[in-house]
Amino acid sequence: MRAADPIPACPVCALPAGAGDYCECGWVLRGPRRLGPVTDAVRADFDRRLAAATLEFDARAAALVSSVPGRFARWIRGGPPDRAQWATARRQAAVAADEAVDDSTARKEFAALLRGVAPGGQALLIEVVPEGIVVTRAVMGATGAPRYEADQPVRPWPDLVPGLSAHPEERLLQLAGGRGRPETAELRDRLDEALREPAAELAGAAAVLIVCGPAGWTLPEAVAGLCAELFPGARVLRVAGDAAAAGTGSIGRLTAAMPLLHGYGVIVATVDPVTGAVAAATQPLFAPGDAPGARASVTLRRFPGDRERATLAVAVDAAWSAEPQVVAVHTIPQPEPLYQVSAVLDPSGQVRFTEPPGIGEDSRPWTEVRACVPSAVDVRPAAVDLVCAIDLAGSHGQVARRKKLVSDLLGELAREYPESAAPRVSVIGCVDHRYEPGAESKAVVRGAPLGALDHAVRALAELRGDEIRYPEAASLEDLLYEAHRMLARARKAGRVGRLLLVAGRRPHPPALTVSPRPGAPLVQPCPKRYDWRDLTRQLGKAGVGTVAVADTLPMRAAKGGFWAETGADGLYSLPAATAQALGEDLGLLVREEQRPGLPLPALAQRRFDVDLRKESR
Amino acid sequence: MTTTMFGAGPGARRSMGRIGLWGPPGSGKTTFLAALNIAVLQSADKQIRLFGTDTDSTVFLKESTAMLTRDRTFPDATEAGKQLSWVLSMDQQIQVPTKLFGKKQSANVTVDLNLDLLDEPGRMFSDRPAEAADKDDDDSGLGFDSDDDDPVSQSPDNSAESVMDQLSGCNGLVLLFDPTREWEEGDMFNYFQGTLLEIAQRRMMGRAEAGGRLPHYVAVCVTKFDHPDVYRRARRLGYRSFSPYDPYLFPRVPDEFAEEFFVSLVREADKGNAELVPNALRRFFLPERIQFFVTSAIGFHLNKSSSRFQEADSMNLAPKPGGGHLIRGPIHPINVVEPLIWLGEHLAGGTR
Ligand SMILES: Nc1nc2c(ncn2[C@@H]2O[C@H](COP(=O)(O)OP(=O)(O)OP(=O)(O)O)[C@@H](O)[C@H]2O)c(=O)[nH]1
Ligand SMILES: [Mg+2]
Ligand SMILES: [Zn+2]
Repeated sequence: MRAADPIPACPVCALPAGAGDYCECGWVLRGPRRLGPVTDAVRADFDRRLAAATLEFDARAAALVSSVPGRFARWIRGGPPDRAQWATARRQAAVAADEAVDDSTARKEFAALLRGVAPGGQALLIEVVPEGIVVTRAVMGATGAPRYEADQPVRPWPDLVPGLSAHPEERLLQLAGGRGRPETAELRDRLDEALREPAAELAGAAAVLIVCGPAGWTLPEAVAGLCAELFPGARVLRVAGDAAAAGTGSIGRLTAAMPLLHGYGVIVATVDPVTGAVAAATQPLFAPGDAPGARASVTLRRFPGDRERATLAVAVDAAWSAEPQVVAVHTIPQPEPLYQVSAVLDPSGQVRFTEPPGIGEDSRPWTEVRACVPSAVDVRPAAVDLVCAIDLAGSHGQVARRKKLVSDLLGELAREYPESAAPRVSVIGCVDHRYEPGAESKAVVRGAPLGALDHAVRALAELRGDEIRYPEAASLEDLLYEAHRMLARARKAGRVGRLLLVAGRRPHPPALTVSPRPGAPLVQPCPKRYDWRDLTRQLGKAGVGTVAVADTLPMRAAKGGFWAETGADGLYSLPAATAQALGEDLGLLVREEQRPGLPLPALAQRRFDVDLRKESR
Repeated sequence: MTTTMFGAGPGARRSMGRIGLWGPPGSGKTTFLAALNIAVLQSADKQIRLFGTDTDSTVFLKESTAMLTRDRTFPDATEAGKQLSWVLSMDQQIQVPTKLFGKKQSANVTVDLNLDLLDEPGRMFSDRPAEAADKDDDDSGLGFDSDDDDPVSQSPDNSAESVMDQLSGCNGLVLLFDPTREWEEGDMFNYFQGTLLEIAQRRMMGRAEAGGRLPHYVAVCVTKFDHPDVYRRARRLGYRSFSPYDPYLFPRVPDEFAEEFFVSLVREADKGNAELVPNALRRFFLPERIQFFVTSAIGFHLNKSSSRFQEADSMNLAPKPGGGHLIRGPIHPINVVEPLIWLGEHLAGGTR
């Protein structure tokens, strides 16, 4: 507003007076000619009307900037407004901001726009906010998560509109449309200049969203309109907001608080129940649409037998096939077999872990972590059916040692497995066949069917030893028969069958066998004609891994025969066997050299319960 | 020798024969006798009966039957010789002359075979009795541990002397050979030779018997046919056969092949010279008075689920807690009564 301006301006809104009778702001520029001289009364009446008009004009802008009465009162010409005047101003501000959307709607719109952008493509977000104009480029990553490049400097309003007040509060009122408008003649040119660069980079691939806020402010709305002309096809969103809050820190607010386009998940290792192949998968943490501040938690498992820290990596939950897009790599202590991890989604898609304590940044990048994960492991962390078969005949001490080994193993499993994923365990034992009338057909196997681990522990404690009644052989073939009965169909049921045999003597043959060397020990056949070799092979064919522990290992066990065949996946002498080694060979505990260093998913094993009920009928 | 004729017509009774039982330690003598009563009871083809002639002998019959069936145990190694007096009574057809110059006719007679049996400790029969007594501790290679814990409780030399005297006074001999022991010990011929020499010395002194040989009828019994090591060899070597009249189809070795089988069995032993036994027998006895039998006192196990012999489950032995063997189930003696019938028939037939 220069005094030398030849064009008269509207006394209310300071727009140059046009040719019409009324100014845009509604002020009557050229009323009907009055008769008679301009009297003092006439002049006073004019002044009163002018004052009322300017007050109303500024108060409307003040109400747009802040709903708090009196907050900008000192900038209202002729102010402060009385209650009625302020109420009117609020009404008028509301009308101006009509049809504005809120922040979250704006984010949803932007997210919708981004979802349409192909990987490698770009989208442009032009935010016209009280600080100025911010242009943000969103580059779509290969996995469908955008990267925001907000490195273009903010164009502050004074650059675009030179005549604005130097006082920030007055400037806000001016932006909202009060205090008379500043000179905007060069606005278009300057805008052109400011947006030329991003427009060129967009190269016409028009995915542009123009966000104008707060809605109803005169200058931002005008600029948003101009922008829309520069980017044909761009959507314009008018966002409502309390300008007092918006006035500070509104830059990047939209992108910073953008909801996740795709969810985030914690990277876990999965193990193929048949091949043992290890694959990475994600366990959902944050869902698509989760906004900054969102809290989430995920339940994870440690690999049974691995109490070291695991890598807690968060990846974009997309249909990634080769490499996950990892957004954070941490390490986590794993003192419990099952643990919960809680996180907060920070602005700009950052994940901050809050629980449990002890989570720290991993010094290694994801690729390095990934390189240390073995391609296959022996452990089967889920859905295992384990049969522990024990020879109960022998001296009290010897039977106790066999039971102790099994008990150690079950104890280890109880420590390493959460209840939901614990193997189903059966503990069975055999006493000797008795070759005397009436006793031959008696059952020699006792124990409990497949069931929960604690059941098995109790069943083991209840197994009583017996004396040796047939020194040359134990009724191990009957144990194998029972084990086969319980395990043969495990694989078809999606479970992994495992057998542990702890015994002292060899089994009875299915038929009397006579060695070519006379005088060699002769062993009566099993009265039930069970064939240990046939049963062992059938177990093998059914994919059941078997580990054997012999009181003492005969030298020839290495070459073949009963112990070699039943100990196909692990063969120990009782003094040398440890629960750890058995667990590893049975695929129940992870071998140290095969630790993937990642958590396992904590799947709910619903089938477990169903099967259990069926079994205990 | 006492052979008495009570007339010659049908229903006549003839009584004859002392029969001596000979065999190395653990060859199965006592078990053989113990099984005799059961064998007689199970025997279907002849009308035969067995009874004791004195209380001791009757008690032995009763007790040994109970031992083998109810207790399922083998007898302990014999400590002191036992004199058993039984009568094996059988209905038999014999040839009798009816007229002075007439043809011989066959007649049905009941033959009572007086079994004056001597069950002696096997160690009495060694060529070196004292040494054999020491070896007795592990008598057979089957782990059939003899319960003989006091082998020198009596003076072996003196009683051996009298045992030999008694044996040499018998009309018939039952010689028992345990092939399973031969595989382990290889001492069968030593025992055999020692005994034979004793008898030969006594009997041949001064007088020449028929053909310069001893007059005894000799039933040579290869024992423990049921033992898998023995049975499997019979099968492998082709000596096994089945009697169509046996409802259980228990295997047997026909008597005409018994000697051959015996020889092939003992040939498999890497020590000893038991294959010399048949030749030595023929040197001292009349070859036509020697008959081999393949026998088993306890027989094969009969699987409950099947009504006949099943090779895969045929062993009638079970381990005894603390060592040794028990009998697994009911016993089915094989060729136990037959050697005695054979002896009875020939002694009655009287070609002496
Ligand atoms: N398999 C089998 N074993 C037998 C049979 N008869 C005897 N035995 C075994 O041979 C062992 C010795 O049997 P005995 O009858 O005591 O032999 P023995 O000739 O009387 O022995 P001594 O009295 O010591 O001279 C028994 O304890 C059994 O283990 C048989 O018919 N079959
Ligand atoms: Mg005896
Ligand atoms: Zn069995």
